[in-house]
Amino acid sequence: MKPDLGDTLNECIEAMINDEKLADEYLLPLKEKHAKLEPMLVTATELIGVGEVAPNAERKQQAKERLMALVERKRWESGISCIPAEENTTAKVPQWRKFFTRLGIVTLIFIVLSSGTLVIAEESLPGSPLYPLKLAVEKVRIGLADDDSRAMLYLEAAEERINELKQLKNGDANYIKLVKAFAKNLEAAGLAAGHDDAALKSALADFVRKNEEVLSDILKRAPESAKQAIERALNNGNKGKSGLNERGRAGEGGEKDSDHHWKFNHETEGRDGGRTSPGTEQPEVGKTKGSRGIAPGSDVRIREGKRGSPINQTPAATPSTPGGVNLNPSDGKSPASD
Amino acid sequence: MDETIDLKELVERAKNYDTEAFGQLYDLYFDKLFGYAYYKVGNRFEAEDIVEQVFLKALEKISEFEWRGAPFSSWLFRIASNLIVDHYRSAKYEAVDISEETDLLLGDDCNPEQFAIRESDRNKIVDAIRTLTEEQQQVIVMRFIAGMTIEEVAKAIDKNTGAVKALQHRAIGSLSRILRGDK
Repeated sequence: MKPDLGDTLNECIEAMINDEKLADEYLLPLKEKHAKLEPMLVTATELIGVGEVAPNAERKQQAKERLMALVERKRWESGISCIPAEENTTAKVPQWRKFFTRLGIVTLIFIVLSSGTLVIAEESLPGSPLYPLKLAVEKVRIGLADDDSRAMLYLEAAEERINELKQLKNGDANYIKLVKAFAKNLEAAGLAAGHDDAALKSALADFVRKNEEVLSDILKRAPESAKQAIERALNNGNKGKSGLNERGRAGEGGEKDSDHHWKFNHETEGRDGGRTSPGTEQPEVGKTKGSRGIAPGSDVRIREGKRGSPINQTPAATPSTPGGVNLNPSDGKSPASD
Repeated sequence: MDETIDLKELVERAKNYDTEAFGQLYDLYFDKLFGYAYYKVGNRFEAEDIVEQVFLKALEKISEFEWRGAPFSSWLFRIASNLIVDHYRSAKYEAVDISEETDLLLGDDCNPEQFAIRESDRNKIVDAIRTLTEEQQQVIVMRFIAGMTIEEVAKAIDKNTGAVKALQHRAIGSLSRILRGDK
């Protein structure tokens, strides 16, 4: 059966959209339809051009970073672990399998220990050939630990990352990778402990006190997603410290700690455009520079006081859906108007 | 590679708030949604804002998303469409200052003259699209501005591909006559 003009036109359009062939090349073998097709293909080319407007790359990237921070926060709030399934040691496994795995690991550690390599590996830094061994041993220790001590081991791992960061030279390519690993360890500590682990909070507070300077530096340079995890963990630590301070004030040194507590929240406040109150449980991610940021959990609304309005269109002339007709997902829900 | 399966997997991962998956969906659809929003509101800043909000809304609602035949992009375009309607209903937008917008956009890839010509041509086409029937507009917007395939359009508007091709044919014929002044 001979294809009708609509089919031929569509084939030509597909080819043009996919940059497969120029319209003229298509038209040559279609002489009889040429006269009718040509003006329509010219129009189709113009239509393709209408759809080819590109957003500003920088603003697109900034919006993406804001979105990623919110996704990260949503994940945190929903309690979904960021640790890949194969690494998630809290997952339930049969007892017999646990036993044999532990036996195997202990044997492995014994062999490694007896060679003395481990001692050297412990001092290694990212980039060193022994560094993966150091991480593997760390992972094994965490894997073997019972639920009560796992959080503390994650915190120890985080502290080790800090020590490594301190030893890295300026501009080291491993810096960001290490910061991300640090953030992951901190977050894993929080996940392993749950929200009300007093021991972890107290340990976090000590940890913050010891590493204040390097933590400030990390927060300045960390990628947005890692920053969120670090800030959440540090705020938990500060809360813990606040508790310590309350006790400390009965004795001595409470005031100094109180200043310290304010400082971290104050830093968060600055980043969030002054909208986060000191003592807020979690920093408000997504409150961004300028007017584009939207607070997580808040009603998402279109910015008011815009720079412009439609060039060609009045509100009354605006169809309610693309092209004035329903662009309808099958579920029939209206997500944006909920 | 089956793109449908990959997309389904991406969406499933995004439902678990996987940042990488969400980032990929963002990269996949941002420009298309921007083209659509820009067509509707005629202002790049507004369009960028709206697309950002589309993704925020999608993040909020993605756990409720279910595959029922229509493509994932239809769901996103539906969100965009609703946000654009809300945008006009709020009536709080201000008159566009073309010169300000032009100045800010010129850094991209063309000089003021080229920019003005391009925008003028674009506006003529957009005006012409708005004279079409609603069904024809829908097909043209989905095909050329949202970048959907004939099959995706057919699923989204619940018609067969033959009907969509016929609508596309008639719409382009009309546009061609309007744009060449041959009414």
